[in-house]
Amino acid sequence: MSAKDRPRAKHIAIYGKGGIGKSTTTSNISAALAEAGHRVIQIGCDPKSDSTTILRGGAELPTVLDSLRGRTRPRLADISALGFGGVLCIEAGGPVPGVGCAGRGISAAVDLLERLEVFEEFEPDYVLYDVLGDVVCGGFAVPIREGIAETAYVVTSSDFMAIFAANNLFKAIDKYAPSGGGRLGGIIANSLQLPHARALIDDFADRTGTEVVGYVPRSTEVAQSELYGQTVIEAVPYSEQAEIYRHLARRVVADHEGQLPKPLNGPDLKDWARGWGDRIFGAETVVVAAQGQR
Amino acid sequence: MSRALIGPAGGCALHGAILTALAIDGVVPLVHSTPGCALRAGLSLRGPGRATTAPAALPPLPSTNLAERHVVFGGTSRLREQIKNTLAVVPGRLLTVLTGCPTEMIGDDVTAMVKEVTTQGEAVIDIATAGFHGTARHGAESFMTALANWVGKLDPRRRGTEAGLVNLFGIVPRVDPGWLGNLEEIERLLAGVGLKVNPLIGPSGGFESLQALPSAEASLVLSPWGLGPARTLSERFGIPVVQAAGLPVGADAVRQVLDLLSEVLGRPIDEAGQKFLDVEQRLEDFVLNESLESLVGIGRRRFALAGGSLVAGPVARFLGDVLGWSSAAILVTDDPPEQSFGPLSAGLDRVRFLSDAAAIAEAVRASEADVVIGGSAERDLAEQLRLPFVEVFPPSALGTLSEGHAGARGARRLVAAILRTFDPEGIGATITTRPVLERGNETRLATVDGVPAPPRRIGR
Repeated sequence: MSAKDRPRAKHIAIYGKGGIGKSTTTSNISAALAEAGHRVIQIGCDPKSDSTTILRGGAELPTVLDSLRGRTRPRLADISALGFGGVLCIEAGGPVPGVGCAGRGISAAVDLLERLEVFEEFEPDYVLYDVLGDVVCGGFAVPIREGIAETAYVVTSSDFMAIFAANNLFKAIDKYAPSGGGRLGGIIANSLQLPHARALIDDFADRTGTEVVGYVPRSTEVAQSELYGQTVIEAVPYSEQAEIYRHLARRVVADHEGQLPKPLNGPDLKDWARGWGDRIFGAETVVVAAQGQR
Repeated sequence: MSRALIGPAGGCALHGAILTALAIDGVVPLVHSTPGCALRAGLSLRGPGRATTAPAALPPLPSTNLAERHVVFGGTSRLREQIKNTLAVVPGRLLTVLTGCPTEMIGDDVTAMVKEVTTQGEAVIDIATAGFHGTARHGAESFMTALANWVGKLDPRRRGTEAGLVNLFGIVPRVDPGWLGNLEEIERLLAGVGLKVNPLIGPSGGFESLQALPSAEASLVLSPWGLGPARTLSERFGIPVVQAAGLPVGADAVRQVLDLLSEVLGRPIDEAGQKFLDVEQRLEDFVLNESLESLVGIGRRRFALAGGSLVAGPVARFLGDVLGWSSAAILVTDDPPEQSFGPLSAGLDRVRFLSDAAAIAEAVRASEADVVIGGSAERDLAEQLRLPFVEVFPPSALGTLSEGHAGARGARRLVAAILRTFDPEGIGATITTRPVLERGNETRLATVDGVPAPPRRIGR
């Protein structure tokens, strides 16, 4: 098929609070898609530049923004590496903490990738953006603006701060969707361990008019694979956890209409959280357990 | 969060700081920002909506000229390099690092970079002058305050007072029309009563003047934009702050300011000083007598006046107290701090504080004035309204050449400007009755009763 005939690649952004497991989730989705025969690009949009580490076995990869430091125009080969299953790995990079503007860095990196015609050259089926999800400023909203990613997912645990970050992303989506920005694909519930976790995230989805598209339990296989610098798909392909990621990957790239979330305002979010606090710690032996969850 | 202004006068805070630095011999500005920030301060003000930016003809400015990579990764190392190079090649006695919007937004640690060189004995300070802090006058005040702070740290104990030395603050170089002329005239007026102005800016200012700030007996503040440095010197050295009601326009206002100064200094104006003030008064009397016939012909006008806080009130007071005109609208256009609204409008009617060109235009339109007084922006408005226009605040580039309106000499220029509009031939009594402006006859007004149309610019 010529480039002209190929359908446009599907661009998907995956947000989540720092440390919540979005890079692990995104990398496993990329690996599962690659394993199924798709051409995938994963772009890490986090100044930490560690989004694609477990796809590449932990090898060094110069970031897109590193190439901005020099005066010569970089080539795609200089700022990308092929990882597991042929996933093209790119790290936007950014300044060291406390210096410069990481948000502008994301914008600059996305601009540069467009100038390099990465998508025309690699002809991907799927492009996954792994974005630091606190959406602290406009720069971090770039992947869901200007029609770059048509769908955004948010990875969250049942921790309040992760929910808070997800709620902020919803606000950003609502802001940009009317002017052609991406819509919400749904919530990916990650690191589920505590008995109330699933019910809490379900309730948050319900309250914000969104949908949970996958539940990823906390697992030693994930931790172990990461220590080996691999995705679960690569390290333990026959595990139940690998199957969970494959299922999630199919769901994430499936055609379904994006949502416009209804984020909670500050006081409502606080009240909602307090309500859950009461239910978990005040009410007898965890209400959620009685509801038959997990 | 505020909304955008239409036609903000004089540019942004960074421009005010740059222009002030360039008006102090020995003080070198270094702009830490993207290239346009240093360039724009040098752009001409000609073009649509004139007088909306800083004036032309500035010398080359040291600038870090940041590129995108500096915004992403931080611009401090670029700044370190530029400070080093500037100190090496640009002669000066104090280097002032002025930050623009991008570097303050990304939070460059400019103070640390400056500290690196000050610990090596270099005279360098950094001043937060990002455009978003406010107008050119805000920037000029921040700049002056930073200088006053620096000189205070340099010389923490007052070395002694120079008798009769008075710091002068509140005239913003190249932003206030006629700044240079006004500065010279204030120097002459104070000298006339035995005082000496320490002007900091202009030909008789400079680095020595900066060093002399703590030795002054008082700080004379002519507009709210001079309060920052004056208060700093007051806190640090106990130098009293004498706040005037603006530029003294006319002999009465001069006497008032000098009386106030002499009272604060505890030094009565001596006989020679009184004689000097009498001469000022007589000059004004001559001017008024010579133009009496014309002034009577022009009649007691109802004026709409727009200008900065340095001049708007004082010119309006002269028109009211001396010529007997009445105010339809007095518009103070330079966004002074709210605390100064009271002193600026003392003794005046219909004063409003508006910085937006559209709001100013609307206020003039609604005022039912029969003459418009102001700068080039108001000229167009007066033409639209078919009202006579008296230009007293020339555009910034010419403002440096203009003689200003301080003192009786300034009053003479003001009267001359009025006569140029209403009685350009000098034949006197061109108007026998005061034309009454009514809605609907604006178009006739310019020509009825012999009132000449406002002079038109050539080449428009």
